Amino acid sequence: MMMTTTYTYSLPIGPIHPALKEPIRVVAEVEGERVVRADVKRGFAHRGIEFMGMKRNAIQTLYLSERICGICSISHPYAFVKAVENAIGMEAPPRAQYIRTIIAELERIHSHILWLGVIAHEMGFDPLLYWTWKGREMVMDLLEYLTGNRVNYAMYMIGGVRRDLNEKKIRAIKENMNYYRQFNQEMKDVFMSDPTYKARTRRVSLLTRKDALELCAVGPTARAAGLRMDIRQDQPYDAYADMDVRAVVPQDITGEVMGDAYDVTLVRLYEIDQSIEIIERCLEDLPPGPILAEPNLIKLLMTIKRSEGEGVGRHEAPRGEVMHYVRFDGTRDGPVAWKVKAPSYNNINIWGRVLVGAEIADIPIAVGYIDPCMCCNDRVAEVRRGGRELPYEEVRRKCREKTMRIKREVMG
Amino acid sequence: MVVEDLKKALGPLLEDVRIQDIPEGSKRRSYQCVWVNIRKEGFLTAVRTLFRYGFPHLGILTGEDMGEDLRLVYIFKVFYEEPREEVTVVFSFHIPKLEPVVPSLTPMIPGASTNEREIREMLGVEFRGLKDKRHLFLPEDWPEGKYPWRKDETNVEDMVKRTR
Amino acid sequence: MGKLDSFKRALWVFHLATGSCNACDIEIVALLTPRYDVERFGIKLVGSPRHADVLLVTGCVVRPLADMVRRVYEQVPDPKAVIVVGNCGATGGTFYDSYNVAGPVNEIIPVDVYVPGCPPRPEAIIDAVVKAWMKLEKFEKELEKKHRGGEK
Repeated sequence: MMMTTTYTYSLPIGPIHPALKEPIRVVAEVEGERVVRADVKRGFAHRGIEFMGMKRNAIQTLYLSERICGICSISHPYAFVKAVENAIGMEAPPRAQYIRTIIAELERIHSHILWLGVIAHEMGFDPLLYWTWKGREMVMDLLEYLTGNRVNYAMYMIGGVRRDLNEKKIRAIKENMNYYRQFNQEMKDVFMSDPTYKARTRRVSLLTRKDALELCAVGPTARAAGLRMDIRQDQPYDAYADMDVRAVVPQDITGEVMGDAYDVTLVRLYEIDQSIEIIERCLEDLPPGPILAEPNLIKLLMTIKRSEGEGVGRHEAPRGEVMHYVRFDGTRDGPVAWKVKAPSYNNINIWGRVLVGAEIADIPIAVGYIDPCMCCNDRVAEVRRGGRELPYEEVRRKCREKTMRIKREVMG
Repeated sequence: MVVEDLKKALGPLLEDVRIQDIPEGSKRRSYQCVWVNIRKEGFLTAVRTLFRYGFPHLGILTGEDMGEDLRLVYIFKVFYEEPREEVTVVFSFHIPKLEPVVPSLTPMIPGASTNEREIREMLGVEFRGLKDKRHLFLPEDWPEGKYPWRKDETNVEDMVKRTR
Repeated sequence: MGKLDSFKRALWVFHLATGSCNACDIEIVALLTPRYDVERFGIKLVGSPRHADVLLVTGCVVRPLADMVRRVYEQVPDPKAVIVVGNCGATGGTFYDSYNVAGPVNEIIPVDVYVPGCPPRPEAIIDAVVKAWMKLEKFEKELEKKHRGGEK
């Protein structure tokens, strides 16, 4: 006799869940241990940012864009200033372009380490979370030294950057890079040599190249599926235009593409190395000169008020492509149309595919896989299994039990 | 190449086209952005033309309230995966506000569903063929006929609670 | 307020994100990691509001979450304290004119301690937790006194 029982989970990806600091609800229908259908409800953190931006002036909107997301807090301002510069035909001085690139790459380092810690935590390797985040504090210190704040740096301005680098700061960056070169080597040793980690992530949340294309996946998620897609390579901007950045894809590292959680880990680890190289290259070639195209902000706002036009700005954020579209109509000093596209906006699409067929114990990995950073999304503490409450803790407990089981098998 | 192909495929449905070179870096090497204004009838043909160069990546779908009309902007990128080859293609066209209907892209690009659901709730554009018509970001109990990005009587100015 | 009298027991904290931008939330997670390591003081993040003494709220409270904030607050056992981390939870901050914001946290649940900053530094958050702790101890002492007084 065939028995089909369908339980509907409304998963709260826990309120203290470090993978999802912001709320989102994943509804997964499961039969036994297998997920048969998955759906996502977003919007529990929707603040109507674009609506507010269309009422403020361009510089206020720049600060608002910084508060779209607190992890990639330079990615949105980056795309926004590029879009505005494109629309009004302004160009940042070369030195400012280099400084922008340096800050963006430092952010990539901290964001990738954050993800590595989070995915380790999901699996039950808490010491690894603490160890990676200990390493992350170094780059946070450096960012604070360079920009004045640990998060939300307020570093970018339309037509340049707000703070310059001096000799002392350059030396601090160089020392930091030496530290990270070694730290990343240690991280690679840990993540790539551990058989349990490999067993736990290989063939988990598989994403094919075709799915990645169709669902508009971006960033490390798309690259793990074998797509050589990286704006820094395809359409280089700022200092990236002076160097030849190449997309980091698993086929160049291991020779094969699986598109699973292990490949994503590889891509992120090797991208940290790439960031270190880019930063050192930028410091070597750092051109002299001014850092702002228009230091007088009132004049800048008047220029914007007089200009008509539209622009697209893009930046390869740690999680993928951030894209902003702005239009000025010559009547006000802020955008009349503003649209933000964050990487997770696209990448959340893939949950519907990668969760189907997954075990309940793999849900946390599949969810954490894309490094969700839902600047516009949601989470509620309400879980049901046939009317009974099922806490997300239970799902995570299952995830950790599986890790321990595999560990025993692997270690013998 | 993109421009010629689009001109051939669209004919009179193409209103005007502008190629923008954007210089970057200290060596000022540039990349291209193609701005294409089309008529709404030519929209699907235009997107199909892009499929000749591989699967186009849909970057942004956005819209704007222009008074009598709604203006939709679709930003695609083609020739990605090749260093410095990528081209951004921006399609924009007007649709009447009284009958805001456009064909959905989801049969061609399943990932467009997210974008279309957002524009549907923000601007009230109907996408013909879009299967998933639930709200994306706005809550389920959002009042009917309220569109945050509209600039007329259907906007949400009255829902704003100024906290200071 | 005076100084903390004793470490009678550990303080358990429940973190509730109500539409924040992640910045405060990441700083709260950073508190647990080796640099700040608040667990050595007995401050622990827990997974359920029913286990918590302190509610740590970040974000401007978006409309669909307002009810949930009330529900979570009711689930925290007495005596309890509420800390708001970040500017947007305290005043609405940069999101003051949004259509989807149900107001600063104090219009929804009573708040004991505010931590200004966008985002505040981890040290400031620890300071706030200690302030809430002192308040809780004061409550407890008053309760004890009342209780003893009733017995006599």
